[in-house]
Amino acid sequence: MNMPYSLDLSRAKCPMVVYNLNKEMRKLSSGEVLEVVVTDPAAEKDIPAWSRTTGNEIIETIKTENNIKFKIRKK
Amino acid sequence: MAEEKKKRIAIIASKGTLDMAYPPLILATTALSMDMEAGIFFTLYGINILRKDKQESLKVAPLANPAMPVPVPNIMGVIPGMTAMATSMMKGWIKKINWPTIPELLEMCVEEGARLIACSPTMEMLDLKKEDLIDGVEIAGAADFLEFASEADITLFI
Repeated sequence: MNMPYSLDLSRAKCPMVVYNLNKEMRKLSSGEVLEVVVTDPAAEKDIPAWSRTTGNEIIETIKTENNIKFKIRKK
Repeated sequence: MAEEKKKRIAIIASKGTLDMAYPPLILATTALSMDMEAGIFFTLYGINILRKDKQESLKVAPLANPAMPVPVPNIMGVIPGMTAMATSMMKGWIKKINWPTIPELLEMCVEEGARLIACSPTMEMLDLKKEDLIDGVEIAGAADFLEFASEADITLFI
Protein backbone atom coordinates (compact mmCIF):
# COMPACT_ATOMS: atom_id res chain seq x y z
CA MET A 1 0.00 0.00 0.00
CA ASN A 2 1.15 3.48 -0.79
CA MET A 3 1.31 5.42 2.49
CA PRO A 4 1.06 9.18 2.13
CA TYR A 5 3.78 11.35 3.59
CA SER A 6 2.66 13.11 6.75
CA LEU A 7 3.83 16.21 8.57
CA ASP A 8 2.61 17.45 11.94
CA LEU A 9 2.86 21.22 12.20
CA SER A 10 0.79 21.60 15.35
CA ARG A 11 2.08 24.58 17.37
CA ALA A 12 4.00 25.94 14.37
CA LYS A 13 3.11 29.53 13.50
CA CYS A 14 3.51 31.75 10.48
CA PRO A 15 6.10 31.79 8.88
CA MET A 16 7.19 28.31 10.02
CA VAL A 17 4.05 26.57 8.76
CA VAL A 18 4.60 27.44 5.11
CA TYR A 19 8.39 27.22 5.45
CA ASN A 20 8.37 23.69 6.88
CA LEU A 21 5.60 22.56 4.56
CA ASN A 22 7.55 23.72 1.53
CA LYS A 23 10.73 22.08 2.78
CA GLU A 24 8.93 18.76 3.34
CA MET A 25 7.28 18.96 -0.07
CA ARG A 26 10.71 18.88 -1.72
CA LYS A 27 11.14 15.30 -0.53
CA LEU A 28 8.16 14.17 -2.62
CA SER A 29 8.09 13.30 -6.28
CA SER A 30 5.55 14.80 -8.62
CA GLY A 31 2.07 13.37 -7.99
CA GLU A 32 2.81 12.12 -4.47
CA VAL A 33 0.59 13.28 -1.62
CA LEU A 34 1.55 14.88 1.70
CA GLU A 35 -0.82 15.03 4.64
CA VAL A 36 -0.17 18.02 6.91
CA VAL A 37 -1.80 18.90 10.24
CA VAL A 38 -1.84 22.52 11.42
CA THR A 39 -3.23 24.41 14.39
CA ASP A 40 -2.31 28.00 13.52
CA PRO A 41 -5.58 29.73 12.50
CA ALA A 42 -3.67 31.66 9.82
CA ALA A 43 -2.86 28.40 8.05
CA GLU A 44 -6.45 28.07 6.89
CA LYS A 45 -5.73 30.89 4.45
CA ASP A 46 -1.95 30.66 4.22
CA ILE A 47 -1.75 27.07 2.99
CA PRO A 48 -4.28 27.60 0.17
CA ALA A 49 -2.36 30.79 -0.80
CA TRP A 50 0.89 28.81 -0.80
CA SER A 51 -0.82 26.09 -2.84
CA ARG A 52 -2.04 28.56 -5.50
CA THR A 53 1.36 30.24 -5.74
CA THR A 54 3.45 27.08 -5.94
CA GLY A 55 1.00 24.98 -7.96
CA ASN A 56 0.89 22.13 -5.43
CA GLU A 57 -2.77 21.13 -5.31
CA ILE A 58 -4.86 20.75 -2.14
CA ILE A 59 -6.98 17.68 -2.74
CA GLU A 60 -8.66 17.50 0.66
CA THR A 61 -9.25 19.79 3.64
CA ILE A 62 -10.63 18.45 6.90
CA LYS A 63 -11.33 21.02 9.58
CA THR A 64 -12.00 19.87 13.12
CA GLU A 65 -12.37 21.78 16.35
CA ASN A 66 -8.68 21.45 17.17
CA ASN A 67 -6.85 21.43 13.86
CA ILE A 68 -6.98 21.42 10.09
CA LYS A 69 -5.70 18.59 7.95
CA PHE A 70 -4.71 19.23 4.34
CA LYS A 71 -3.86 16.63 1.74
CA ILE A 72 -1.62 18.16 -0.88
CA ARG A 73 -0.53 16.68 -4.17
CA LYS A 74 2.91 17.69 -5.38
CA LYS A 75 3.02 19.48 -8.72
CA MET B 1 9.06 24.84 -22.16
CA ALA B 2 10.58 28.08 -20.97
CA GLU B 3 11.03 28.43 -17.22
CA GLU B 4 8.36 30.72 -15.82
CA LYS B 5 9.75 33.95 -14.43
CA LYS B 6 9.63 33.86 -10.65
CA LYS B 7 7.81 36.49 -8.64
CA ARG B 8 10.04 38.72 -6.61
CA ILE B 9 9.93 40.71 -3.36
CA ALA B 10 12.37 43.51 -2.57
CA ILE B 11 12.49 44.88 0.97
CA ILE B 12 14.41 47.69 2.62
CA ALA B 13 15.13 46.97 6.30
CA SER B 14 15.95 50.30 7.93
CA LYS B 15 15.37 49.62 11.61
CA GLY B 16 17.62 47.85 14.09
CA THR B 17 15.29 46.96 16.93
CA LEU B 18 14.20 43.43 17.82
CA ASP B 19 10.55 44.02 16.93
CA MET B 20 11.30 45.61 13.57
CA ALA B 21 13.80 42.93 12.58
CA TYR B 22 11.01 40.39 12.31
CA PRO B 23 8.78 41.70 9.48
CA PRO B 24 11.43 41.79 6.71
CA LEU B 25 12.78 38.35 7.64
CA ILE B 26 9.36 36.76 7.96
CA LEU B 27 8.24 38.13 4.61
CA ALA B 28 11.46 37.03 2.92
CA THR B 29 11.39 33.48 4.30
CA THR B 30 7.71 33.13 3.40
CA ALA B 31 8.29 34.44 -0.11
CA LEU B 32 11.13 31.97 -0.61
CA SER B 33 8.84 29.17 0.57
CA MET B 34 6.33 30.28 -2.06
CA ASP B 35 8.86 29.91 -4.87
CA MET B 36 9.49 33.64 -5.06
CA GLU B 37 12.81 35.42 -5.11
CA ALA B 38 13.56 37.65 -2.13
CA GLY B 39 16.09 40.39 -1.49
CA ILE B 40 16.56 42.58 1.56
CA PHE B 41 18.59 45.78 1.54
CA PHE B 42 19.83 46.49 5.08
CA THR B 43 20.51 50.16 5.59
CA LEU B 44 21.05 52.56 8.49
CA TYR B 45 20.28 50.84 11.80
CA GLY B 46 18.76 47.93 9.89
CA ILE B 47 22.32 46.74 9.33
CA ASN B 48 22.47 45.70 13.00
CA ILE B 49 20.30 42.73 12.05
CA LEU B 50 23.29 41.38 10.09
CA ARG B 51 25.98 42.12 12.67
CA LYS B 52 27.48 39.06 14.32
CA ASP B 53 27.89 41.01 17.56
CA LYS B 54 24.41 42.53 17.48
CA GLN B 55 21.97 40.06 15.93
CA GLU B 56 21.61 38.11 19.18
CA SER B 57 21.22 41.28 21.17
CA LEU B 58 18.75 43.43 19.24
CA LYS B 59 16.54 45.35 21.65
CA VAL B 60 13.08 46.83 21.98
CA ALA B 61 12.82 50.49 22.95
CA PRO B 62 10.26 51.18 25.67
CA LEU B 63 10.71 54.92 25.15
CA ALA B 64 8.11 56.54 22.87
CA ASN B 65 6.59 53.11 22.29
CA PRO B 66 2.96 53.40 23.37
CA ALA B 67 2.11 50.13 21.61
CA MET B 68 3.68 47.91 24.24
CA PRO B 69 1.06 45.66 25.89
CA VAL B 70 2.21 46.99 29.24
CA PRO B 71 2.67 50.64 28.29
CA VAL B 72 5.75 52.18 29.83
CA PRO B 73 5.34 55.88 30.55
CA ASN B 74 8.08 57.80 28.73
CA ILE B 75 9.39 59.18 32.01
CA MET B 76 9.98 55.58 33.12
CA GLY B 77 11.37 54.51 29.76
CA VAL B 78 14.50 56.59 30.28
CA ILE B 79 15.42 54.77 33.49
CA PRO B 80 18.43 52.46 33.00
CA GLY B 81 17.33 48.85 32.67
CA MET B 82 13.97 49.60 31.10
CA THR B 83 15.16 48.71 27.59
CA ALA B 84 16.52 45.41 28.88
CA MET B 85 13.21 44.77 30.60
CA ALA B 86 11.14 45.50 27.50
CA THR B 87 13.48 43.33 25.44
CA SER B 88 13.32 40.33 27.76
CA MET B 89 9.53 40.72 27.83
CA MET B 90 9.38 40.52 24.06
CA LYS B 91 11.79 37.59 23.94
CA GLY B 92 9.45 35.83 26.37
CA TRP B 93 6.48 36.35 24.04
CA ILE B 94 8.48 35.16 21.05
CA LYS B 95 9.34 31.97 22.90
CA LYS B 96 5.76 31.51 24.05
CA ILE B 97 4.39 31.55 20.51
CA ASN B 98 7.18 29.25 19.36
CA TRP B 99 8.63 31.75 16.90
CA PRO B 100 12.12 31.44 15.45
CA THR B 101 14.86 33.77 16.67
CA ILE B 102 16.40 36.42 14.40
CA PRO B 103 19.59 34.35 13.83
CA GLU B 104 17.41 31.36 12.92
CA LEU B 105 15.38 33.40 10.42
CA LEU B 106 18.58 34.76 8.88
CA GLU B 107 19.93 31.25 8.53
CA MET B 108 16.72 30.25 6.75
CA CYS B 109 17.07 33.25 4.40
CA VAL B 110 20.65 32.31 3.51
CA GLU B 111 19.81 28.63 3.10
CA GLU B 112 16.89 29.37 0.79
CA GLY B 113 18.89 31.79 -1.30
CA ALA B 114 17.67 35.26 -0.33
CA ARG B 115 19.84 38.15 -1.37
CA LEU B 116 20.96 39.91 1.80
CA ILE B 117 22.47 43.21 0.78
CA ALA B 118 24.36 45.42 3.24
CA CYS B 119 24.43 49.13 2.40
CA SER B 120 28.06 50.16 1.95
CA PRO B 121 27.84 53.80 3.15
CA THR B 122 26.15 52.57 6.33
CA MET B 123 29.00 50.13 6.88
CA GLU B 124 31.54 52.90 6.53
CA MET B 125 29.53 55.16 8.81
CA LEU B 126 29.44 52.51 11.52
CA ASP B 127 33.00 51.39 10.80
CA LEU B 128 31.94 47.85 9.91
CA LYS B 129 33.91 45.32 7.90
CA LYS B 130 32.47 42.44 5.89
CA GLU B 131 33.77 40.08 8.62
CA ASP B 132 31.58 41.88 11.16
CA LEU B 133 28.49 40.67 9.30
CA ILE B 134 27.10 37.15 9.07
CA ASP B 135 28.14 34.94 6.16
CA GLY B 136 26.15 35.13 2.96
CA VAL B 137 25.82 38.92 2.89
CA GLU B 138 26.64 41.02 -0.18
CA ILE B 139 27.83 44.59 0.07
CA ALA B 140 26.33 47.03 -2.41
CA GLY B 141 24.64 50.38 -2.79
CA ALA B 142 21.35 51.88 -3.86
CA ALA B 143 21.83 51.28 -7.59
CA ASP B 144 22.27 47.54 -7.13
CA PHE B 145 19.18 47.32 -4.94
CA LEU B 146 17.14 49.44 -7.36
CA GLU B 147 18.08 47.24 -10.27
CA PHE B 148 16.89 44.21 -8.28
CA ALA B 149 13.76 46.06 -7.09
CA SER B 150 12.87 47.31 -10.57
CA GLU B 151 12.09 43.71 -11.50
CA ALA B 152 10.13 43.07 -8.30
CA ASP B 153 6.41 42.45 -7.93
CA ILE B 154 6.39 43.56 -4.30
CA THR B 155 8.52 46.32 -2.78
CA LEU B 156 8.44 47.33 0.87
CA PHE B 157 10.20 49.82 3.11
CA ILE B 158 10.33 48.66 6.71
